[in-house]
Amino acid sequence: MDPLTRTDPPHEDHPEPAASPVSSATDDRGTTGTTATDTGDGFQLLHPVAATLWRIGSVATALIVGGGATGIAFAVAGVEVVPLCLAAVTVVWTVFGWWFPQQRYRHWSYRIGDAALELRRGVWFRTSAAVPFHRIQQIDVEQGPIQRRSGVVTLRLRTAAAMSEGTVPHLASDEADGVRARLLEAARVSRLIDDGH
Amino acid sequence: MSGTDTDAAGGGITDDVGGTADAGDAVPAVAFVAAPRRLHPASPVVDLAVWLPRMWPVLLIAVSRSWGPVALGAVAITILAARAVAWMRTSWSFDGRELTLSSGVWNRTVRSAPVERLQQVEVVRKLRHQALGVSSVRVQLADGGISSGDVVLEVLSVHDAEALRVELERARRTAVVGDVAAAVPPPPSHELLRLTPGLLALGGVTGASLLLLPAAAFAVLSVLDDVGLDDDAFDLVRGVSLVVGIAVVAAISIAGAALLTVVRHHQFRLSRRTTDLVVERGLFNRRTTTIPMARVQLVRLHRNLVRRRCGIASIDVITSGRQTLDGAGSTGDSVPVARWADALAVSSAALGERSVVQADRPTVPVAVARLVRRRMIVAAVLLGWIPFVASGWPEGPRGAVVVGVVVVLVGVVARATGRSRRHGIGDDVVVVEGGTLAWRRSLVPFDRVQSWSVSQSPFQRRHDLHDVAIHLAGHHAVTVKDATVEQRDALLEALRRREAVETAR
Repeated sequence: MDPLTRTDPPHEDHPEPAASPVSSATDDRGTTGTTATDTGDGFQLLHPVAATLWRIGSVATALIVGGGATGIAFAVAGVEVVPLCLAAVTVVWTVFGWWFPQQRYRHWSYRIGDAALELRRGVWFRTSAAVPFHRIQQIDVEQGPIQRRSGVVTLRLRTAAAMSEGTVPHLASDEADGVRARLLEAARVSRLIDDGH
Repeated sequence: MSGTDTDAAGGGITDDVGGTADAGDAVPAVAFVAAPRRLHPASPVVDLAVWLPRMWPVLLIAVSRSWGPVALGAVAITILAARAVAWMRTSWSFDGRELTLSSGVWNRTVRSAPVERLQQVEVVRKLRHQALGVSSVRVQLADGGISSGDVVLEVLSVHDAEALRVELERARRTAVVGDVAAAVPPPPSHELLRLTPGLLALGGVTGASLLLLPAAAFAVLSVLDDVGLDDDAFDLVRGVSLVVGIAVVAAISIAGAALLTVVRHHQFRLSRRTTDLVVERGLFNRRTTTIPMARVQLVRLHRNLVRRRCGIASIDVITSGRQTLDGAGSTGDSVPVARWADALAVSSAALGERSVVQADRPTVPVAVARLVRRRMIVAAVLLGWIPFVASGWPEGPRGAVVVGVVVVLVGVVARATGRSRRHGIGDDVVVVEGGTLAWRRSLVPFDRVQSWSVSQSPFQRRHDLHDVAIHLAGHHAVTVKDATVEQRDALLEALRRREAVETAR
C-alpha cells in the first residue's frame, strides 16, 4: 500500500463537529464521546474537534495579525492602496484559515501497526512516518486549556532521535489513554523480547 | 606500524600495538569508590586561565593605567577565590556503574552518567592543562532532544584521568558483555590509521580551512575600514599590484591552512581497541577520544572536487552525543583526511562486523531533470532582477547574458549532482551518497534507525517521487531524495524487515 495514499474517510458527508465540548457530543453512530474515525484502511482520523481547534487558531491568528496590521495602516494612511491591499490579504488569509484546517484534518491519520506507530499527514506536502515500538523512550500526554475544554489531548512519542515525528495531536482524552496504554504495552513487550525474556 | 610507549605523564594512549593487553591495564588501578572526591587542587588556577582571556577588554584598559597591575591582581585574586569556593563545592564519584558530578555553590547540580548510556570518553589536555600537569575528562551521553548534559571533570591529575578512562571503559564492557567476558583480557589494540604531516597538510590546503585566513583578513580589513583606521593598512598594500597581492594572500592562506591542520591533528592516530575506536591527536591541545563502536550511529565520507582529484577524503564517525564548538563531540572526532582506500577501510572498521554494500540504485532521469529545473528556476528568480535594479552590476542585455550564463552553470552542476545521487540497501547497512562540489556518502546501520518518514511535495507527486528520511539517535537524519515508488518500497521493506529482526532478537 502506498504509505502516502489516503483512503477517503467515511465522514465526508458528515456535518461539521459541534463547537461544544466533544466529550458530551453524539456522533452519527449514536455513541457518546465521539472518538477517531476509521479511514477504511486501518488508519484512524483524529478527533473531529481537531479541525475546529486548528480553525480557531488559524482564524484568530489571521484576525489578530492581519486585522491589526490593517487597522494600523488605515489609522496611519487613511483609505489608501496599501491599507486596502492589507485588508484584502486579511480577508483571503481568514477564508483560507477557515477552509484549510478541515483539509488538514481529512489528511491526518494514524495507526497502531504490528511493530510501529504509523502517521500520515499533509495536504500538499504529504508525509508518512513510522515510529517502531521498541524505539519509544517516553510518551508524553499534553493538554492545553482549550484542549481541556474540548476533551482532547496531544500524544507525544519520544525516541532517541530528536527528529522523530511521533506526535499525534487532538486525540480524545479517553481514547488517548487507551492508545497510550497500548503503545506502552507494545514497547514493553518489544523490550522484553529484546532482553531475551 | 610502530608501538607507542606508555606515557602516563604525557597523557597519551598507553598501549603497544600488537601487545597483549589493553592499554588501560598498564595504568595502575585507582581505588574508585562511591565516596565523593574533589577535583585536582589546581582547578582554580586552570579556571583563572580560562576566565582571564575572556576579560580582555578590561585588561586592555587596566594595563594602560598606573593602577593597572594592582587592579589586575585584585581581579585575579577575586577569580581565584571564587573558583576555590566552587572547587570546594565540587565533587565526583564513580561506583563502577555511574559517574556522578556534584557542583554549584548556591544552586547545587548533581549530574550522573550511567556507564551503559555512555557515548564516548575524552581525555583532553589543552595547553593550560599541559602547563599545570593535569587533564580533563569529558563523558558524553546521548542527546535525543529530551535532555543533554555531558559530565565534564575539568581538572584531574593525569594519572587519575587515565585511570578513570580505563575504569569507565572496563565498566562499560562489563555492562555490555557481563562480568565473566569483561574479566577476560581484551585482545590487543589494532592501529587503523596514522596520518603523516604531509597528508595532514594536503588535507588542510584542500579543505575548508583554506578559506579561514582570507575570511579573517577580510573581516579585519572591514573592521579597520569601519573604525577609520584603514589608511595605514591600505597604504601598505596600495603600491602592490593586484596579481602579486592575490598571490601573497593565496600563499599565506595555503601555508596557514596547512599549518593549522597539522597543529590541530598532530600525530593523528586512529586505532581499534576491543569494541572501541580510539582517536589521538593535537599538538598544543592533546586529545584522546574513545568511541564505543556500539554507539556509532552513522559514518560519513566527504570529498570535494579537489580532494577527489587528489584521491583523499575525510570521515565523520558520528555518535548520538552532542556536538560541541571546540571540535569535541559527535562530528568533531572525524578523520580530517585519509587516502581513499584507507577511508573505505576505516569506514568499514567503524561499522564493526556489518557488511557494506555499494550504492547501486541511482536517481532516475526524471528526478535529475526535476532537480535541474528546480535549481535553475531558483537561480533565475534570485539573480534575474539584479541587472535591472542593482548598481555596479552589468546592466540591461549584458547583465541578462551574465545571469543566463550563471543559471546555465547552476543547471550543469545540478545535473551532475542529480546523476551522482544513489543509494544501496544491504543486509546490515543502507548507503546514501551524492553531491558534486561537495560529495558525501552516508553509511547507516539498520540497527541504529530510530524511525523513518516518507514525504512528497506536490511537484514530486506529479512524477511519483518521494523523499525517504531515516532518523537516527541525536540530531541526525539521512534522506534518500526523489526515490521512485519501487525504490521507496524496497527501502521501507528493508527497514521494516530489519525492525522485525531487531524486535525478535
